[in-house]
Amino acid sequence: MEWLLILAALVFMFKALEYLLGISLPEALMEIFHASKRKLYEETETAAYANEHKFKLMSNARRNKSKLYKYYSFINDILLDMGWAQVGVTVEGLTVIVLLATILVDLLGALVIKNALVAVLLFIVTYVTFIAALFAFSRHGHMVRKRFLIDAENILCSTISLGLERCISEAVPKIDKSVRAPFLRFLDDVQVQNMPMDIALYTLNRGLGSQFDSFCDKALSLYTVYSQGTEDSFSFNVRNNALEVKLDTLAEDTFSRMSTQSMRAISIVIAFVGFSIGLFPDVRRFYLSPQGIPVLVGYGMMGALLFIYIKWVQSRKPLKRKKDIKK
Amino acid sequence: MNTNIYIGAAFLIFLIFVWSMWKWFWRARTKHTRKQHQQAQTVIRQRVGVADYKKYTEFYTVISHLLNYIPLGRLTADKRNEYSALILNADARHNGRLSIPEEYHVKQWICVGIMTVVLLFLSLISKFFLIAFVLLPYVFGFPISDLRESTSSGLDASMLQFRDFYNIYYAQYMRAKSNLRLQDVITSFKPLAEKEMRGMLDRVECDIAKGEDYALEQWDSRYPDSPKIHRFCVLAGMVSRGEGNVGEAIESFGQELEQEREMYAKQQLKADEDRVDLVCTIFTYAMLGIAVAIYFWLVIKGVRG
Repeated sequence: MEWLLILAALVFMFKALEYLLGISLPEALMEIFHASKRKLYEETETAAYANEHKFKLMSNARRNKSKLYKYYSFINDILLDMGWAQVGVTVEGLTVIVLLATILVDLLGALVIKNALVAVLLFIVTYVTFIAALFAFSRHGHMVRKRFLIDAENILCSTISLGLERCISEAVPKIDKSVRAPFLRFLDDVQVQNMPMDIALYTLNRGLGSQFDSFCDKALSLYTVYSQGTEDSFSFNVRNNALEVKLDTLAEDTFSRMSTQSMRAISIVIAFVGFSIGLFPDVRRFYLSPQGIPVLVGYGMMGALLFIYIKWVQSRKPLKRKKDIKK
Repeated sequence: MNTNIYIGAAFLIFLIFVWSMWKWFWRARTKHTRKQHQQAQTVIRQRVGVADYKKYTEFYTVISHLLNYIPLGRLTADKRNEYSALILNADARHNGRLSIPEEYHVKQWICVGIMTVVLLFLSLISKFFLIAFVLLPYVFGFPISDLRESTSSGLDASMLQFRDFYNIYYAQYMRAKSNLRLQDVITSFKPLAEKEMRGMLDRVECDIAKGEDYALEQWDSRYPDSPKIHRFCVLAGMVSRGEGNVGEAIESFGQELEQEREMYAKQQLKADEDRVDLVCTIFTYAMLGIAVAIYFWLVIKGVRG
């Protein structure tokens, strides 16, 4: 009897609201969904704009010091290698999408596990795993793009004595089409929009990725304080690129070996657990009980951590590390 | 009871994670209150004032003279020079002016005094606490260790960039053999330099006013542990004085630096491989250990029951 009364009251309330506001309930729900989507989009857009401005105005040393910029340049490289930056995906947009995906996975996991601590650990591990997986997928595009970038840098470094703007404007037809857009934007920024040189160089650097860090630094120093022989220091970038190509071929071999090794190690564990579940009913009963499911999730998390560790080692650049350098 | 603690801890970790993400992306504008502004102004006024610095120096010098009456307590000339070099390298300051070596000497003896008093009190409980006097040299070096660490880490960071600095020096040497000025090299390199290297070059730039040879000598004496800086200073001094034919020596030094870089990168790759091997084995043994333990536990339980 009470249920019926409550239902009638609810129906009456919604009807009254519909009469007052002029929207029915499903329409209102859709409106709320669209509004929240729009709000999230606007927030990410404003955050992207604000962060862009913040990094533009930072000095070079301070930018290298901040941890947020490290995350930023890392995700920016992934976006460039996947070809999503050309479509218009920003760093903030990607992080928001990955966060939403992790929240979905975590809610599903929390329903199965029913353990708050493991659910929170799962949240952190899945977030990092998604980014590590994106990094792993972007490797192929990275190798292709890097080759074009090295060609472009070699052309620019050998003709830098013409001056920065003229050198870039003459080199643009020789550069590959897939990496030509940031250079054209740089020329537009400097010649048409009359931007300051440091900000224009920063946008060029963001458009090309961390491969052009040293070139942009040297170009800025060439523009601000000129002294004889500064152009000659560009020629060392060419030699450095040759070394990097040599090291990349070495690194590819080692990391492919590492990944196969880790896959073999994880498959042994999966085989053991799978056979023991399939053959023994006692073990099966334990793993499907509320105490056993977190253990199964734990195996998955440990495998994910191993994957993350290997990708983290791969992402570090061998020529730019601060530890154990000889005095 | 126990589960409540777990849930509370989990909720806290979750809140911290979400809050840090929020803070990264949507940072609010910082507001400066009137009080903070006044505090900043007073700090500036204190920095300018000489009287405060005079009081500080007098205080520590008087106490360090008093320490002469303790055996082994005197601040010898060698130690004084060492401490002052460390202070110069680490750029340790007291209200904007360089701090003095006597301060660190006094702080060392204060640490030792506190340790002795605490250990004598503890010895009333049991005599075995007196063995902790073995740690006395460690406690004696405690105030200085911070300075030492900062200098060594600064040297590590600047050695990464030393090759870039040398490349510019080499390029300018090839352009103008005998007309090379160290000041030109430093000014063209400074925008590329990071904090530690820039600090090192700032001190060299201050000395250049007294002459290039003097600046190179000072630079060499400031970093006695690094053979690279020593070799560079010797070569640059010979170039500035016009002694002999150093062209080939300069070229070979650059090639050596490059080879070292390549070797270093290869070593790093190998070290990475070894580390990944170790982590891989640890993870697999941990996972297999848990799986095997659960399996045997359940099988034995099943046999018994």
